[in-house]
Amino acid sequence: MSADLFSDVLGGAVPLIQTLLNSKLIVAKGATVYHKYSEIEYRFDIKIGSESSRADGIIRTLQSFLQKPVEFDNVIEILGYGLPHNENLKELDIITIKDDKATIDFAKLLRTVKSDLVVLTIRTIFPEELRRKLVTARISQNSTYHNGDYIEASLDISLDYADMWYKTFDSFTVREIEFSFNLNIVLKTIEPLIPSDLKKRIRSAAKAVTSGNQKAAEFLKIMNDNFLTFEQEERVSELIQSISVEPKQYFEVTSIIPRMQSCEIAGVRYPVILPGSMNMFLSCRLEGRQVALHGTLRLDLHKFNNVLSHIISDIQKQTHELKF
Amino acid sequence: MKDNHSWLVEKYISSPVLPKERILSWLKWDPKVEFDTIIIKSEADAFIQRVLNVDEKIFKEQDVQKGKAIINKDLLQIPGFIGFEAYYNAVPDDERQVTFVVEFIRGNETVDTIDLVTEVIRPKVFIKHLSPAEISVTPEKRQIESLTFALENRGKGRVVSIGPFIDIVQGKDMQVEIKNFKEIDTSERFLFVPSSTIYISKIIIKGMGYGMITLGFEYEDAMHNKYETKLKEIVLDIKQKENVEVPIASTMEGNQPALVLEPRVV
Repeated sequence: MSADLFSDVLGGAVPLIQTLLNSKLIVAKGATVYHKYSEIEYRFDIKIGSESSRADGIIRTLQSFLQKPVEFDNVIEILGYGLPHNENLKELDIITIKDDKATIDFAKLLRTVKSDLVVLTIRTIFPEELRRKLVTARISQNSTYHNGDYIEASLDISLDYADMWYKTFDSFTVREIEFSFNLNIVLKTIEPLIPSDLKKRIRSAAKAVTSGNQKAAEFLKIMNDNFLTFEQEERVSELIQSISVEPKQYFEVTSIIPRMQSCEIAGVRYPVILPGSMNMFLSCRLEGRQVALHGTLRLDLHKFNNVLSHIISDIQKQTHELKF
Repeated sequence: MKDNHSWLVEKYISSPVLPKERILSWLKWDPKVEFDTIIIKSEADAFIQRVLNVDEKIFKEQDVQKGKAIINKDLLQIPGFIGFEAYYNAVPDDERQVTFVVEFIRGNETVDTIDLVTEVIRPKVFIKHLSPAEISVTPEKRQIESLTFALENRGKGRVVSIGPFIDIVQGKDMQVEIKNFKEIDTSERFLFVPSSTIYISKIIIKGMGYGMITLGFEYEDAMHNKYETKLKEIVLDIKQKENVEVPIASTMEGNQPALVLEPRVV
């Protein structure tokens, strides 16, 4: 059994874990890597036995670890509880954490806990070198455009270096494998959505405002304010509806960040702020037994254009009465 | 095993790919299937960068670099899975299919062969039309119109950047080059523009006489592979000595969508 995911991560606590494993006191072991955060969470189910059996059982096995609490370094969080009596090991001062150092007092645990099974979860830093080795990903550099209906990009992910994890853990999951895409909104995609009469009014307003026309200035302010709603929550919710990722059970869209761009009304050089781009963040979860996964991100262009059309429609409604 | 690969649970390869873009591929099969060795073969210009989830001993074999990875069953770290990362390192003249062959060997016999086929795509830009076909300056006609190229991308790959270049100039009394100029765009072709300051490529001609240039476009795809169009001949007929500036304009048709999903490094 490889100790890479133990020795490189758990450091000084490895002899304890090895002893528990070798004597089959760890009855289940799992690990979850939180890839985006470079963290790994171990879960160990440790059979400590009934109170009466411990003197001749686990106490003998762990003799050398009972003199003082075992220390763990680089710990972000440590939790533990007994089953079936739900003893909280932190509340009982059996496990402690201060800064990034955690301790488990096994002597106290074996004296205090009535349950015969103890579940320990230890969350610690996952070294960058191991993190890079673990996940191999490929994101398509040339997204596919389908007849004005949708754009697609593909993602392929595989776990590697199975000797680190495959035979070591009963369950192994990698979460929060993050991908990001950017959609640059070129101006020539916004323009066709603007009705020709509104285009004329925008150009007229930009020319009129240079000679101090207040109504024209009001028109352009309403226009800019409405375009700025592209960044607001209501529009973000609409934009999220235009994105799908398959397979859904392994991928999710975690956030969208719309951004604006500065541009000008041509010929007049009047500055405007328009929707500029959309950054999309996706998260993937990969179960160890799965090993590899192919995913597809799709942006529905009709739904996306609808968001821009709603903004333009609001500009029309709100400026309908303005004459300049 | 050769029964329409019913023992195969999953077969996948990234497709399409640009030249030099990472390819990921894998096979998953019923672990009960019996074999001794797997051989992965790649064709010329396709390189297996890494075989996934196998013992590191595999990579000490020089055959991997020559397009052949031999994996003994005992070196598989996950029963029923083999995967690899590869690249197609050449820039092909045309879009083409690239095949990786995975053989399952038992004893001296090949018990099954799986082909993993990917499509290598690229942009392929053609000069459809050029107007006008020559640059002519006479005392009567000194106004120079833009050289407008109608370009068409017939490849499946997207063009990320494109610009003109001059290849050959013939005309002993002339100096010809291409330069980029910053100008203010006063046209109202569009309602909104990123900025009124635009960059225009112009052919600068110094001298006079009769000559010829060949001009083409160089362009890149998303993997920064570089390509060139075929060259177009443009006749120069400059009847009076002056500096001539000829703007170059181009329009692109074909597979060149305005909206693209671009991956960002996180």
